[in-house]
Amino acid sequence: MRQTQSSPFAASLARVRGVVDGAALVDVSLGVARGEIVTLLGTGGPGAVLAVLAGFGRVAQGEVAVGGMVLNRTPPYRRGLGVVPRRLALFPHLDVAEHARFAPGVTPARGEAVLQRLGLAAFAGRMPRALSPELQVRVALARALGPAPALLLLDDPLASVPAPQRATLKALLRALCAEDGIAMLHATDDPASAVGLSDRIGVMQSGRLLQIDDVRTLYERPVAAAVAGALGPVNRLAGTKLDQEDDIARIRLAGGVTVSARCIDVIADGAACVVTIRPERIAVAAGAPEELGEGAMAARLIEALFEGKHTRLRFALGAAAPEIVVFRPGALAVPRAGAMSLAWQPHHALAFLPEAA
Amino acid sequence: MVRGVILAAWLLAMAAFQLAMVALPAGMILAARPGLAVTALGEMLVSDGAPLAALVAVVAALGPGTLAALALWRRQRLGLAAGLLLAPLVMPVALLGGSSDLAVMLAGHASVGLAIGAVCGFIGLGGVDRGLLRVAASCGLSPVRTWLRVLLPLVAPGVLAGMVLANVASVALSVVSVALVAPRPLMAVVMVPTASVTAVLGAALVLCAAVAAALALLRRP
Repeated sequence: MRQTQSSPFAASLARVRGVVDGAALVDVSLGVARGEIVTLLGTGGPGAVLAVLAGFGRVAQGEVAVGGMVLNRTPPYRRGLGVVPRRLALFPHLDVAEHARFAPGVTPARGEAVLQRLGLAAFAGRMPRALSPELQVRVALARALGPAPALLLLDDPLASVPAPQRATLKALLRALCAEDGIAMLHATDDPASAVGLSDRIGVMQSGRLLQIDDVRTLYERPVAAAVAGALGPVNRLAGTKLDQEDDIARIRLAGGVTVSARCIDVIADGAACVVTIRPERIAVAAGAPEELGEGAMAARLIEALFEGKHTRLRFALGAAAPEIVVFRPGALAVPRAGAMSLAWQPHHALAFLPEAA
Repeated sequence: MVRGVILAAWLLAMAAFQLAMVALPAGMILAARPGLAVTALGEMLVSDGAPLAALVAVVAALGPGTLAALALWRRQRLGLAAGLLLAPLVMPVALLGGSSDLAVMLAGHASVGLAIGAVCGFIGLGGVDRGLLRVAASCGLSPVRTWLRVLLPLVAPGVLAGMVLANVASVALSVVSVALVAPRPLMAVVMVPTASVTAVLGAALVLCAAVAAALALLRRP
């Protein structure tokens, strides 16, 4: 182990490359500050990043540091990290209290304190398999937190927990982070697990970290179409750029419909591109497009489904044009017949190069 | 705590059994079938190092056999090494049948015990989640401590079964060895009626089971 130059992060990766657990990592760099929760969102890469930090896989290139020490060649049992795996890996021969004091050096008093902190004191003598999924996650947390690690690695432990209990666990993790100053790195492929928990989210695709930012920035200013689609439903429309004024381009979609979108990538006139627009950003009106103003398009309603929080409307822009999904809040009474129109603010639609999509 | 006591009692019982084979007169060990020929077999078994061979087989099943099981389990596939390791189980009588030299006999029994321990341990490890190893390592347990605190308690039934089987197999193979290298032809005479009795008893048991099954099937619902 050697010391890094002074780093503000509890853990960091610097230009890490390699194949870990069957997933390739390509120049991944990130840092997790003390008391911060960072989620890596995507498939393939996030779990590999956790494995690299935990020492379960070696990197071909780059630097892995925890607490200011480079740990590239340090075995997992000398890294001092807490790990909660996806399937929890609870020991079938140990009860809850034995899990809390499983790590070497954890005193019975410390184990009891951890159980109290996680609301498990009443279950100390129970075997984990007899507990609910939420309590099993708490047991796995107790085992990981017993030795008071500076960094906790969470490999999507909330995936098996029903939504109401998931919200409770998110609140618990945030409290642990804020009050005890633990840094957490969380990997998941489910945006619902990431949002509401994380201070920052990193979107990964094919082993690359595309963007790491707070949720609002990712939502409003994604740097790639894949990032735009990572945090929830998004319409992806293939087209050709016609021209551009400032950062707003006119794009002709398949089927001949022309729309406006903000260019994120540098796209040449006449080049192919991809437009993304979130379903909740699209305005709907009954009547001709002129009634919605400039940039409105005529559309044919295919289907309307009430989904609780919103009504999902599926439209066709034309015979050869792609379908568009629109979310409108609440239960919306939509006329089945008659002309309908769609419109969006140009800066809400984003245009990317197809390679980045 | 209770698990530890049970394990310790079991190991003590195994040790007592081994000691009994060495310490007690041969006639007492094989008292169930008294007679000149059986007594002679018992005496030859003890004098020819059968108890020591059984002990070696049990230790081989417990130590190297369990470690071999762990190695096979971690490789996740059975290759050439596994084939060589398990080869003694194909025909152990051929391996040990005519050996009269003590060192050769002990080596043969150790190889059979190791193979039995490896098979039983491997089967015992089959249901263990490999994620436990990673979690144990992340908690600060070295591979040795992980083996002692996580894997060994989980695989204990398989290990104990391997020890029992290694012991039984070793004693049975010693009987064959003694019979083959005996200076007197008396042994063959003794073995044949014993085998006949076993066959008759086995046939009777199978017949009883068949009758019971037939009665159960013929009973009205």
